[in-house]
Amino acid sequence: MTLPQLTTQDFLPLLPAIILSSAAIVLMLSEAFLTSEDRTHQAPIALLGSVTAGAFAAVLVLRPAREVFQGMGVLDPLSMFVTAVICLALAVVTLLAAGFLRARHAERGEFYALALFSGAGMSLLSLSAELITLFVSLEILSIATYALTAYLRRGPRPAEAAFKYFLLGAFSSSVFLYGTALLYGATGSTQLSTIAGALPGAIRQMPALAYCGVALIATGLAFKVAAVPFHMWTPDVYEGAPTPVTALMSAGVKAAAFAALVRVFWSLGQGVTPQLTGPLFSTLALLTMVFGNLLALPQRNVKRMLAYSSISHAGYVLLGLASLFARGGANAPGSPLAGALSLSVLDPEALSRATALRGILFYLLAYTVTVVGAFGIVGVLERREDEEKPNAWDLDRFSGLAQRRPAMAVAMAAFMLSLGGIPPTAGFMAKLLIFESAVDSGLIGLAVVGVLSSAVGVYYYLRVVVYMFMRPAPEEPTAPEPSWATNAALVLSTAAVLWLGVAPGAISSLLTATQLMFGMR
Amino acid sequence: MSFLQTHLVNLVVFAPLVFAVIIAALPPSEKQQIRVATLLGMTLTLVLALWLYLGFEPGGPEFQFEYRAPWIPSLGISFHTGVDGLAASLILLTGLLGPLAVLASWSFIEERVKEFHLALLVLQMAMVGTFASLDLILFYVFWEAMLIPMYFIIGIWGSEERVMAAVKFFLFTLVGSLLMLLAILAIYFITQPAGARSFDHAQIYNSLLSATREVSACARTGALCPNLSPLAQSLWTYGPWMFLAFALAFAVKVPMFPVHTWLPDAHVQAPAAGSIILAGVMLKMGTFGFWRYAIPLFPVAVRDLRPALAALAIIGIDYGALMCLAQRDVKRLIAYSSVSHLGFCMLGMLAITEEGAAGSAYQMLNHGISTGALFLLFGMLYERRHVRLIAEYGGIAKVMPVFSALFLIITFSSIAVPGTNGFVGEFLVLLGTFRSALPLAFGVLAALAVILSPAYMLWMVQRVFFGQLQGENHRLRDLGFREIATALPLVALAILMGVMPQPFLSRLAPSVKLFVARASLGSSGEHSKLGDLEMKVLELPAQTGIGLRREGPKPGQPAQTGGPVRLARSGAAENPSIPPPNPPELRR
Amino acid sequence: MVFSECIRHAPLLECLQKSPVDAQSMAQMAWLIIALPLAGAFICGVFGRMLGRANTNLIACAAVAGSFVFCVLAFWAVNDRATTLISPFSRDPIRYALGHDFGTWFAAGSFRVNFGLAVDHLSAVMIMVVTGVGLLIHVYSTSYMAHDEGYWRFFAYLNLFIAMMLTLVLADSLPLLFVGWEGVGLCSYLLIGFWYEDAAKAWAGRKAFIVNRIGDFGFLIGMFLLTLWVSAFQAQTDNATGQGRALEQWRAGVSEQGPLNLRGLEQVALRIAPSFAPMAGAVSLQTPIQSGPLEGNTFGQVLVAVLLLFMLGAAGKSAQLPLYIWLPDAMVGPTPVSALIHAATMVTAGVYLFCRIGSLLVLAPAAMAVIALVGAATALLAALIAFAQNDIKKVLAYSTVSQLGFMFMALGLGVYWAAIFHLVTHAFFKACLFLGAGSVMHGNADETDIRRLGGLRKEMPWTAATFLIASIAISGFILPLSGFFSKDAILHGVHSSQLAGYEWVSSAVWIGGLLTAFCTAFYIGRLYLLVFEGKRSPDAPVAHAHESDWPMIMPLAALAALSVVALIYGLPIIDVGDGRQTLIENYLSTVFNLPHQLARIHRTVSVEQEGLFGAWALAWVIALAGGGFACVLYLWYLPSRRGAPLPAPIRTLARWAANGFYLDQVYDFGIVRPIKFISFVLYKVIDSLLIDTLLVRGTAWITARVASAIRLLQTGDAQSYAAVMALAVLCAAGYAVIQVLK
Repeated sequence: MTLPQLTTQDFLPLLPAIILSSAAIVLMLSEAFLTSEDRTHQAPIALLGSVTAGAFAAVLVLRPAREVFQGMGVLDPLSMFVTAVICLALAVVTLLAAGFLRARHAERGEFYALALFSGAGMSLLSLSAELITLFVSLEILSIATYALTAYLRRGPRPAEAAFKYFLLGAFSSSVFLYGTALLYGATGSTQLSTIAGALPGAIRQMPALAYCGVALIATGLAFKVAAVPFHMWTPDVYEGAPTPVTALMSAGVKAAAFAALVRVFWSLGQGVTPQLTGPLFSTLALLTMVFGNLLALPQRNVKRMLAYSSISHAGYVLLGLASLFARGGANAPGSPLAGALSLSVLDPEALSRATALRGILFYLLAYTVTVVGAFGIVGVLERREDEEKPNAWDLDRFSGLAQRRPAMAVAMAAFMLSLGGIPPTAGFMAKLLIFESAVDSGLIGLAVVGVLSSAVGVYYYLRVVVYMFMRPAPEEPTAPEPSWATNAALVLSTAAVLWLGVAPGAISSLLTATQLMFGMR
Repeated sequence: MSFLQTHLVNLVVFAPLVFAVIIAALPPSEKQQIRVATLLGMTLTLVLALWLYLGFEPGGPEFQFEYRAPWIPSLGISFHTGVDGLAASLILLTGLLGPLAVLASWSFIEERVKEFHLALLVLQMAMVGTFASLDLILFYVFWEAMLIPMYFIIGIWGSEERVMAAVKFFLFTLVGSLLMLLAILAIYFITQPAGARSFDHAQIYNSLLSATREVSACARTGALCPNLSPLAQSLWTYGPWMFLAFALAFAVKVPMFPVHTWLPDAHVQAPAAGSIILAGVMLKMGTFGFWRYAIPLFPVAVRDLRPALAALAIIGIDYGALMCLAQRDVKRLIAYSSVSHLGFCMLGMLAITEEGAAGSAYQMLNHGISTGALFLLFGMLYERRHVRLIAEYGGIAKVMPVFSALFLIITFSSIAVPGTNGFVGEFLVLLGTFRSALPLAFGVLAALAVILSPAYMLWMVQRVFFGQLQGENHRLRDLGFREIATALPLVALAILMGVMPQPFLSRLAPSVKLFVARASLGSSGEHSKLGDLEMKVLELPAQTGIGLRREGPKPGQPAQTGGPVRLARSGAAENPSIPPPNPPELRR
Repeated sequence: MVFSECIRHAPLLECLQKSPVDAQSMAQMAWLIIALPLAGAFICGVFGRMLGRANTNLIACAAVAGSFVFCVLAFWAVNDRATTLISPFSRDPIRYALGHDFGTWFAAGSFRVNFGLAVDHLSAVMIMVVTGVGLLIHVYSTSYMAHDEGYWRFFAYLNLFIAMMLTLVLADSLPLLFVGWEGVGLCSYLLIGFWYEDAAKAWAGRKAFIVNRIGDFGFLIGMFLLTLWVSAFQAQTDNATGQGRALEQWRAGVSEQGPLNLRGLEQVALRIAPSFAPMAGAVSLQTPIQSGPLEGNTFGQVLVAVLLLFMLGAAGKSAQLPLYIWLPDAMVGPTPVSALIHAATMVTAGVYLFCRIGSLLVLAPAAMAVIALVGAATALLAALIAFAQNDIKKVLAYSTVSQLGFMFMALGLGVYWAAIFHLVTHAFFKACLFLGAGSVMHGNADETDIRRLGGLRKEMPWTAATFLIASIAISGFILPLSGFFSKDAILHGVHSSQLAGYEWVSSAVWIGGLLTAFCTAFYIGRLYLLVFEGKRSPDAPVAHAHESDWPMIMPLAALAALSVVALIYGLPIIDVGDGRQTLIENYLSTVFNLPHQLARIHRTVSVEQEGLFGAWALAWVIALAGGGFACVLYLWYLPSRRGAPLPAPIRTLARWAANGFYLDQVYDFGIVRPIKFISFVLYKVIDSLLIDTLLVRGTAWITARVASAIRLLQTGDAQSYAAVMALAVLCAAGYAVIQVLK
């Protein structure tokens, strides 16, 4: 057999992942060889790694889409943009973690290494166009996050969380794998492009097989994005995990998983009748938006509340997906790049799809910057001795924050408003784009539900603001002053939230431009 | 052309923000400095607003001092500001109430002074922005942003039940406006072809015109019309729903009858400054929204729902007045009287006659002045006694003669005694209602307020100011210089606007004419040329790269300002998907 | 040419008709008549405290005096034969009138109101009365309020009132007239509640204001309907009729001065064709209105409605049934106020209004009938109530109500000049009576109960004398006094004119008038006798009353004199073609000719001439009888059997009368309390319970409950999570299968 011809072009999309993992390896080695006095270098290295990776990804965003490794992966704006977002999340999380871990004397290299590995996994997940590759990268990121969840081995909570996460994660991966097997059986391939081609025929011959395959794959990914009813692990895990890790999970993992969802169903969608994908995502979106918000409503525990709210936000992204697939089959068969997202401008529905994609990507970005900051502040406010107590993240922690730490209170208020979708914050623009796409593809009903549920959401976000600004400060000792790194991270994310809210023009035109790149030439 | 000509509106909008930044830099302990700085900022805003108001030529184009620059080109959202007569007047009102709000809280707000004044300034910016914006999304952004500072003002510096009131206020308004957001999106998609879409109010409105005429023609026949143009078809089916979404958002703000209950709580709990601005400006947002967006965009739907809406307005008028009779709390009473007064604004608008519309617009200003002044003055009393119950007072005219005199004058303006501003507004509104196609009974029922308003206002005045002095009221001291200086402008204005309203009305007149013409578009026996109804605004300067701002042409030059935004042209800049050979980002 | 040159080579009388200032400049100065008192009000109100008592008094009186001077000049000017008013509504100028338009007040759409002031013989008489009596009362007040702390407020209000009253009289259009109309109501509110420490007095002020507002409610709607009526007329008359040019002129006038200008309305009345002789293209009262909100009704019906609404307004302002209840309570205000506002000027505004729109009024006999009957009923009822009042001011208040009733009778039968004549004389003697009462109270430690006074004639000779003259004047039972002539003019006019279709009204009203005349003589006699004659009552507050000092006596004397002198106007000395006219009738004919012509054209009011003397005699006899009865009763009969109770029926009547036939209570229980109750219930039920609790909080509550219910699913137990997921997968698969099988 001959080795396939691999050009440097093939390695381009892998660059971020390569950078990330090499940085991780460096860290691991440093762990082995450096003595425990000078442990200040890990965070910088990790930061450097994620930033460079992100920079590469950002540069690659506008590259024309193409398959690499004979269709194993795809270099296209989706993968690269998501990778960039992931790297951004990684960078911020690193900054947060630096302070967080130092405060707990747990600053060891493997933490960063694991984070970077999971980042690599996410990046791969976002670009893989072949089910096995997809599964492998899924596992990379999952295992890394399992480990991260249990990283702080104090008290029962982290262990329990990690165990639950592992158990259910394994369950979902197996489901995904099973789905892959079924589809392979139905179509005789694991490559999305081939499957896309073969699926119509397969459906005609062995519909049950094909459909179950699709459904199971959907389930596997739905678990990662924590869509209701596959969300139940989320609160426990998010609460149990160290706060920076929670931030990483809610930002990065979701983004990657959504990228995978979009890609997979973009290909499968054309085979499967729109009567399936459309309703599938609509149902998921509906359940996720409503339940996510309702579940978060009674929470007094802010960290848990954020966990639930992350579910509801997954719901809004799913609304974007629903409107992406509302109009049924994607591009006409036989278009040059089945694996990559391809739009022919002639296709009248192309525009509405473009809108939907833009909405999804912008939402992922906006949510990432917001939620990372929010968890960052939660992390700053929690104190070591709390970790065993049940009320570690109770709203009371926030009361009177406006007097104690005005800047931080303002930042948190900005995050909360952004999560609630109030202008002039990133969250509003994101919701605007999502609802725009929903209305555009005629999902008015879903949009109304989304709007009302977000009104419910505003209530519990405002509650945090109420505690911060309208309650007197408690007497108990306050959390230690956050490190410069943490502050930098918070400033960064606040700035991003406001910037995306006030002047989203640049990004949204970038996204529009990326859509122009889909499937051209 | 001068920088001022093009940027005057933006200056009015952002001057408060600049000062907010300055104050953010000041140390929180320097309370006096902060107050002075805020006062300066507000005064500067007022001066600019006055300049804007005087610079507005009633004879000129509909929108003046326009400024337009790309904001989110890929969505067809532009930073588009400009004022018509009504907006200019309301901006002036906002500018006027700003400094007074600062003075009103000069000695009342003692803790967290810095945050308070920051909130005031940001609020000022958001309110002016709401009036000035000509782009739906820009409008929406300001509209929502307005909630946040007010939410803090009520929630932090309010009295006992403040948090409840603040949250209630926030959610009430939010639910309404979120649905409006959907309606905005829907109309954005319906009105314009894919690829050439824009959120610009003028463009959306102009593209609706002919369809509106079609639909109304069809509506008059009452039959199902098979051969409508697709746009008209969708307008025919979704129009009423979109109007309802808009109407809900604005009705909450007005507030109209069933959705008014947030108002009393908010007013009662808010500090004086909050109440002044809430009553003086924020409630006008609702009526302004109806005037600028809801009614002109969907005249047909309005005509269908008109009796119902007018009935609600009248219920608001009389019901609000009756509510006042049942109150024991001064601020609550004044709050309900606002419900009654704004009912007049709504009624005048729904009359769709020039008299009614002019009266409604004028009533917006009046209410801002008289009710603003009522809250201002009562705030001074509250600062002295810290009770709101009417029963707690009595006979204070003895110890506070100046205060009582001012309060009495404002009371008369609020119950529309001729010679005060209130009369002109109510007279025109009622006349317009009688002139309109609405049944005469509506006018008569609305006129009942003429009897009810003195019944409650004088009852309150009686209980608070007259009778025997009792209890702690003996120790009340009369107004100081600052307080008189704060109240006097409003009192003077109340009389001035009653004695010579014409200068104010003439500024409103062009907007009034256009409003009536647009609202009655397609009604039976109406035959105005669509060309006259079109909104003529600046086109977006041809775009060479993201975020580049280009000065728009000078207002008052129809040659340049003229011509509606033509789809093809503005499309090129804002089209999300027709590929330019290679997008600008790539070349950079 | 001006007076000074004229006097050299012409007799005085002739020269008196040449006004010293020519009409044009007078017209342009007209605003000063209002501005002076207004300025006075401002100065007294703002600086009065600092200026001190003397200066304030000076300024207040000077302001009114100045305005009085201008009024004299205006009066003089309109008497000049040369004076004409060029009205934009018609091409032929109006003689004996001057006016000037001071620009737009407000305009919107097709509606506009201008600051137009006009003086003709009617308003000239009115302003003379207002400023003249006003000046006297100002002087009186300087002494009456000499010991009051709030003197500056008092004079500010008083000046403001004068200004408002003058606005009302001089206004050239209904909306502007309405400004004065409400303005005087405002001032009366402020002045009734002048001593606000006493809650009862403040409440009385509020009551007055609100009852007046009920009337104004009618007035406003009347104006709106009238606007519609005018525009309907504008739409439906075409120029085809002979009067095309005139109509054009009128249209121009409307667009320039607004539809509610009084001259414009007169023109409309002129252009309406008589219903029995309809002209093509012209509008008659039977013509149905074709378009607009009034569609379907005829012009006549709408006009009647409008006038009745105005009557509601007039009833509020001029204290007629059913709205007179505020006036008796208003007596708690300072007595000069009662004299000026609640006797002489403000309460006559309703009469003035109908005289102003007389040319419209004569077109609607139905409305006239209602007005006349209301007037008669009020007059009689009030007179009966006045019987049983023991408060000196209350008696006078009810007597005012009843005298106003007289004036409305006259209006109702189109005898405008008589109404105005009575208005003037009434202003004189009623002001005199009130001021006399004030002086009595002043001298007797503010005692107002007439049973606790008596025998004051010796102690207060001046007061007694003037009071006597005024009483004779009002009851009119000695010939040569003004009241006799004016009242008689009314009775005579009422008797001699017939309303088309409502002939019975005239006689009914006439009889009512005669009865009232009798009662008037009786209660006024009773009042005078109990206060000044007989011997001092044992439980009088002070042993010896003291006569008031000159600033209070002087106005009394002046007013008494006036109420004598005014009789000149009542003498039928002017010789017109058919028979003689009284001076005042002739004088006012420049204004009232138009209505009378219209009445003749439209045959709504028919007047048959009859000998004056019979009516005179009858009225005289009746008055004498009333007065005599009173004398007998209170000088001999009652004192003789002091202590013994009166017969039961009389006592019952007295009780009812004393309580004003319980009208107040009826209103209270029938209207006021129900409204309060309803508002309270609405507040509790709809606002608090339904909307706030059920809808708003309810939604929140349900959401919260649902949320916490769902929360129970979150059992933190991994197996169950997995189970749920598995279930979901099954559902999905099932759905997929169903899709397939379809």
